[in-house]
Amino acid sequence: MLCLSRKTDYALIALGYLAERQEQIVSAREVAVAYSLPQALLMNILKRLQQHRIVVSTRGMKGGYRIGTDLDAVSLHELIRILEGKVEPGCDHGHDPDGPIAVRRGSAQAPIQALHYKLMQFLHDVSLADLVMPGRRIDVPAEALRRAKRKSESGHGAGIIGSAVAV
Amino acid sequence: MAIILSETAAREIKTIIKQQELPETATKLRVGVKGGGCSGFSYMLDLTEEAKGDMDEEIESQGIKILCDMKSYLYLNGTEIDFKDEVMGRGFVFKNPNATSTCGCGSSFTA
Repeated sequence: MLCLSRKTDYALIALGYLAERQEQIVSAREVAVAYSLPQALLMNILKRLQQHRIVVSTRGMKGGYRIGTDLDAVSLHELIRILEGKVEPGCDHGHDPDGPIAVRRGSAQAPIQALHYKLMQFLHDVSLADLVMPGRRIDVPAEALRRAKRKSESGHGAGIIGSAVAV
Repeated sequence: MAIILSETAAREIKTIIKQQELPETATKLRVGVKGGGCSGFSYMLDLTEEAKGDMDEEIESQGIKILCDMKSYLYLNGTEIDFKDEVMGRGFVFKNPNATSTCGCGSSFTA
């Protein structure tokens, strides 16, 4: 399991929103309202992204943010490093003995080290453009494409199964 | 304008139809959007053997019949559906020219 922190999650949502509106200046409030995110945390995240020139801000009544860099040139690893200070793939659920763990570089176990290497490689290989740019990101995964159940099979009518990131 | 499939997307859909042992000539691709409001729409893809309904548009692209309800068609007309197989995973990518012309609050497309 690869877990992202709330900060990274919200940053990707905000960048996706800005990427869909590249001609516009978008306020933190607008993104927060659109996705029901905590505005204060989102403002902090956008400020951090601005410090690293991933977004640029405009001051004033109609101020806000827009994408400030080529998102092809920024990896998911870089985004996590900017927001978290360090990159530890996986989840750390603390005291839950059955919970998933952070996959740390320093693990003495060879399989965990190998997994760490693979996950870090993945985080380096994935660019932000791959995740947030419309027309670049995967909207419907291949495994989600299958035959809809007929009315007689489901009792609820033919449902559409594949779903995706917001347009 | 219409909804078009790239060659790679069509090839992948035909492969999935075969893998799932669905009737090749009768199986259609249903395309749609769901959701709305400021957080936008989600794209939907589905395989179906149902006939074209009164509220459906039927299009053919790369030898695959596509069904799209008229409401979704307003947002999807002109869209190209491509297929990617890369480090991020395997899946379908919608290149939708309507998605760039949102209203000020982002709550709707100009279709």
